Amino acid sequence: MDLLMNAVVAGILLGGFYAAVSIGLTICFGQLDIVNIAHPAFIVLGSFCTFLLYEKLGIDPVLAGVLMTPVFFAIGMAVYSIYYASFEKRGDESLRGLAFFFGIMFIVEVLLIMTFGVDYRLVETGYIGQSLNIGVVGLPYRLLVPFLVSLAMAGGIYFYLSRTFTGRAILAVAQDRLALQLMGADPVRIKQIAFGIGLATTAIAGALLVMLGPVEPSVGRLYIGRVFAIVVLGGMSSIGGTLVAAIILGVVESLVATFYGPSWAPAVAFGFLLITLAVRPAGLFGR
Amino acid sequence: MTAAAPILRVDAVVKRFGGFTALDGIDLDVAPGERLGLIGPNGSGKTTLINCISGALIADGGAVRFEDADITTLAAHQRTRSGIARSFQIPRPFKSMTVSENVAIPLEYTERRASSDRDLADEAHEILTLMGLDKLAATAAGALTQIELRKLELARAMACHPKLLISDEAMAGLSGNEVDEILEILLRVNERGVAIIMIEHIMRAVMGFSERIAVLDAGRKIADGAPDAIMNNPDVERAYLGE
Amino acid sequence: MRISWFWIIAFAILIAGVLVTKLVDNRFVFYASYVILQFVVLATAWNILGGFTGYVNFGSAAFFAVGAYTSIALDKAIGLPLPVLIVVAGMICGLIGLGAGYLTLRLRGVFFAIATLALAVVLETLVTNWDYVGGASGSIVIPPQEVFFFDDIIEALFSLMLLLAVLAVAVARYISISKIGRGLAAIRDDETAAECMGVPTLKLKLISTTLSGALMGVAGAPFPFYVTYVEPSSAFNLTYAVNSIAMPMIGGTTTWFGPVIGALLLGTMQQWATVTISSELNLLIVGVMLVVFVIVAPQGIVGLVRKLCQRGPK
Repeated sequence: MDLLMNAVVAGILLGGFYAAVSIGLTICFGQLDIVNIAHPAFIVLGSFCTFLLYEKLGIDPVLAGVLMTPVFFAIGMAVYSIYYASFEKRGDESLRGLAFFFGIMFIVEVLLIMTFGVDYRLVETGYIGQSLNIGVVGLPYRLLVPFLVSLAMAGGIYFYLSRTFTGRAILAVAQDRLALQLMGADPVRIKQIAFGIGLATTAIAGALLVMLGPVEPSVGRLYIGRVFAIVVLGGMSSIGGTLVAAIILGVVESLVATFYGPSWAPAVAFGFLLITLAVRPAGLFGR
Repeated sequence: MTAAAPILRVDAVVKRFGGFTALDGIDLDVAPGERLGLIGPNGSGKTTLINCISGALIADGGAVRFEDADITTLAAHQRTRSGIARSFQIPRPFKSMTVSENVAIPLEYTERRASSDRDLADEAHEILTLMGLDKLAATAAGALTQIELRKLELARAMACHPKLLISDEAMAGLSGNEVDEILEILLRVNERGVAIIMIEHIMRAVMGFSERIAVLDAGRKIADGAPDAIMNNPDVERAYLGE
Repeated sequence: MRISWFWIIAFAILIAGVLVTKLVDNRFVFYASYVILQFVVLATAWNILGGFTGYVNFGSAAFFAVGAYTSIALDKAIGLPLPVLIVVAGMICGLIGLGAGYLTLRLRGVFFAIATLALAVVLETLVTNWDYVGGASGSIVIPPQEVFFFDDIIEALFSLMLLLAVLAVAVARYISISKIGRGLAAIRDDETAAECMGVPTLKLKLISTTLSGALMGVAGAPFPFYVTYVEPSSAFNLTYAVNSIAMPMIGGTTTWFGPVIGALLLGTMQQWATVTISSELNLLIVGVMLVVFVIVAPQGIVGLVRKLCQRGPK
């Protein structure tokens, strides 16, 4: 019973972290319809940058993640510009656009292998090894901190999208082009900003990832199934849906890992993805 | 069977999207070789109805029968093979192919018996000539003008060996002369015995072309009759102008 | 019926290949050529679905690996001869392609692509947890020492892969000039319109995923005998996934010979480069070339050459 309780709690915390990993993709894929399969690769890039900032300058990983967001935002804007000019404008995003992001994913991974080798890296701040104990349930800080940061980030993005002019313009790009034109906003510019934000989240997600456990360059591949499963299950474009889907996946994975062994955990996401696609492609909250 | 037996019979068809009922029990018959106009305000369910007939959507209730066979749940390509062809409102050419290759696809996939390449080429040429596209046969479909694309849409529909052709706003956005050109083509098609359902907003075209007109409003059929009767129908006036 | 040039050339290549095994002593030639030919099969297989039909498969490595592991498992269990292993591997991978296609192809194309990405991870997880074929630590395969007609196993494997490459290309060529190929091209251009023109889109897409998957499995089946030691990370290597996309994209996706050109070019370059520079740098070059080509030359080398030819006569 204690085992079950601990597994569920760990799953919820893990799910919170998964939300941070997926939320950027909810914006890029769900709202902008850009199939950025390089998303997890950028997260791993974020992890390695965090590792460097921590090792060389002693910067706390969470702070490092926040500090990196402007750089990742700029990378996102640049990537979108190329994507728009080369594929979206030509109406050729399905085949070549996918190959483009696949190539980017591969380049990021190979560059990381060339720079850091295939060894695992991790950060060890003072609080990472400890945990907060409430009764029989232990809340390890290495899970608790990512969970809280992730919730803060999801909340921040939610308020940005619903309360600011640019945020609402981003939602309009996804749903109502006419409204966007009436608002007098340039859709390409808005999408560029949105993609930038989507990529900026990978900086923070990367920082959280390297706190959670050791990271090596190809670990991103394990996250491809997860992030897409979460975004699809969450109904593609809703921040709240993403959060709920992430926590569901986190709990199920944690249970599977506890009772069947951790090597089976990656299969869970795929199962989720396939079942969702086959049974309910609109996701949990879709119409 | 008498000559008046309908080729298409739409029977109490219902289509819902979530909570919204787009088609609320539509009945519609089309006789062989008939020219039927289908009109109604935007959002009245015209496109949904032809999607349910052509197979792009499957009706939630009711039945669609074609030549006395129930086709309600058949896939679109099977309906095409049984003789229902449609053109798209926004032309959807196969961009990597030439005009004649575009026409060859439906020719090849709807033919009932295997025929040689020679026959296919002849048939493609004949259809392109009918549409006035024969000189453009070797042109890439991506390089066509708007009116040429509309003609290609009709050419491809004709290449499906249809008994019923559904023309979805084939004339929207065209100039007066171009509208006449398309109308003439559709009449020529009809002369070959093909029944036609024409969806159109251009009243002059649809009134002149159709032998009978059906009017949809908010997912229901509110009128069905000869063009002049429709013009004087108070329900139709209300639907278009509001009260 | 007249015999087409394609078959005359195909037979000439096969005979030349067998002659080479009798004339050339340098083992490296066969080791390197085997890999290049294996990529010809993979690239051609990928292109049947990717280039002809317009659906992206990111899981080529998974199909390849399943082919390889089918060989390992059956070799260990019953010790079947290699040609039988190849057929069985092709059938299993064809079924996986069919299943993945059936589950996702009714949705938008991107979901198929994402599913194949995830499929690769899951199949790797399964194989890693499957102790019978060695699990994570891998499996050693002892190839037969004596082979019929050829001097040693590598000559036999080289000739076999040459045959498979010719067959794969013949299948792709047959599709591209047949009614199926024209239907697939219609699907690639506009699926909704194709369906309305009487093209049975779902059936054709399933034929395409099945064939493509089967050929990838065929490419992987002889792999254990070539390397003699297989571990999940080598069979599921991302290199296969990347190359089978990059080669057709760089060669040109709309024809059957585009992927062949891409595979010969990139494959040879990689074989040459792994000896001279590091394998990571080598892969980086492939990745960069893929990105550059999809941006600058969307029709690949075939498209570039066609453009030049059209300009030439003026």
